[in-house]
Amino acid sequence: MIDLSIDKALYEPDEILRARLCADGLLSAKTAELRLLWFTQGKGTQDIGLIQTMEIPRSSASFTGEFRLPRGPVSFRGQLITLTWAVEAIIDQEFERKEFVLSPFGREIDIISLQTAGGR
Amino acid sequence: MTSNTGPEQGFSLLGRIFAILFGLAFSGIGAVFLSVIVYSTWQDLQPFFWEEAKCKILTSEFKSADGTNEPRVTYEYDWHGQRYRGNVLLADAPMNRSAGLRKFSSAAGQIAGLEVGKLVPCYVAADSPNRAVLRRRGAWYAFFLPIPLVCVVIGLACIFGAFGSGKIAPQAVSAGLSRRKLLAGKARTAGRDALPRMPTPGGASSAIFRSAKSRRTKAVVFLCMAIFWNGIIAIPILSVTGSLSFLVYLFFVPFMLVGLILLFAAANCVLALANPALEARVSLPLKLAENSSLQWSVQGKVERLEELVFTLEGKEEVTDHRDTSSSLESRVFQIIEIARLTRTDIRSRSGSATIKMPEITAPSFAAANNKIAWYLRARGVIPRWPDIDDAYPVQVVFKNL
Repeated sequence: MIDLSIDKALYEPDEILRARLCADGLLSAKTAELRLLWFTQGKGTQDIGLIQTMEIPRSSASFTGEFRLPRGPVSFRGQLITLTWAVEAIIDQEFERKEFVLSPFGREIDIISLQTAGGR
Repeated sequence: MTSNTGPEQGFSLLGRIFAILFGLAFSGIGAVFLSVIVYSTWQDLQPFFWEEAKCKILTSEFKSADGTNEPRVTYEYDWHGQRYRGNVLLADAPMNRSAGLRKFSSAAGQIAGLEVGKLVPCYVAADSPNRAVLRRRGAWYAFFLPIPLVCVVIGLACIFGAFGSGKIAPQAVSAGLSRRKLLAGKARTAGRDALPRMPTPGGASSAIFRSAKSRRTKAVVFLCMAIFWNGIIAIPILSVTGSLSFLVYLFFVPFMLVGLILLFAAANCVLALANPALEARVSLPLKLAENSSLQWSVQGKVERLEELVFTLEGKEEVTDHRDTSSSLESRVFQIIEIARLTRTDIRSRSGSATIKMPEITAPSFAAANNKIAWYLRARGVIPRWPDIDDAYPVQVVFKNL
């Protein structure tokens, strides 16, 4: 069983994300990776952006990894597309995922509720 | 930094020649088909105004020609005390002579009931009694009259467009914009390519958008689609034979409607070539929570424009691939009005407006199948003429980039 946690649910661009991992089978695992990625959900075919992959050392049953988050793409929720950021831990055939929001606005952008604005 | 391709004005000579040749060919072909249909319709409708007489069938047989069985019938009739002979089955309309339409009615069907020695009704031209036909047929192909008519209109519009809109300028998007066109396109690729491409700090540029080229491209695309579609459906329609042909025509009705819609759209695009040409200069990328400037100018017959509205439009665009097919879907999620110009504003032919970017919205994003796309849109209202509706892709980024 994989126990994966991240220090918070909302991050700003360029911030450091810390992921803590605890897994029984880590010492004897053949493959163990921590991945930072974003993915889309919705009406279109899914797109996945794998930003960084980190090899997990098998010296102990727990591990803490750090990722510097990029500036984008930011998390948003639309009617056709939702973009979500996540950290995934993959140990042999098992995996665990923690989702988070990457946004400079202190929240996920909800483009469904955006109003028209502007002027001359 | 400002990028421009220079003050090019007007259609290029090559473009003008192409438009004229294309227009001549298109309207010429349309005119030929139009005259054939009109003449055939007239020929086919004449017997409906002739007088009925009794004809005696003298011979009734098939004659093989070109692998098809052609009916050959001779008959005689009396008209005001004088005897005449005839051999015309149907009116001598060009459409009735076409191979495809000969097949339309089988030879056996055409001479059914015309046994030798039988008295049958025939139709005689009162003013020229040596002209008679045994059968009358409605000119059903007259329903296709709009197709060559639209071709003639499109062709003439092309010629008109080439001569009449000499001030339309070609589009030139700045090189700076095209190099950084939106975000990373190959999101499935691992590593650095999964990150959106960001503009370099301080690398702001201004892009100039011009309407003429996009309009020409649109017109050519719609014309090709209309010609291709209508050409394809014309083949089975003109070759259909047998007693169930009515059902075949019924089946083709929706396809013919699509063909007409395509012709209408093509005509609309071609007419739009004569619209006043717009030029918009925008500082790019557009940054959230910052003001940006839009400078616009209109060339051509500006007095035709009733209203001109510039907006910034945010769109979700997705492609869904399933098995061998794929579908596109999009939804506008935000419209920011930049300027609404009245007749008076437009007559000044140029001006500027401020784009007030919102503090929070989704910036541009482009992956292989999913996009957040932003467009600078210009909508111009022209009474009794296709309106202006031009859209140019722009990049929206965060303030700190």
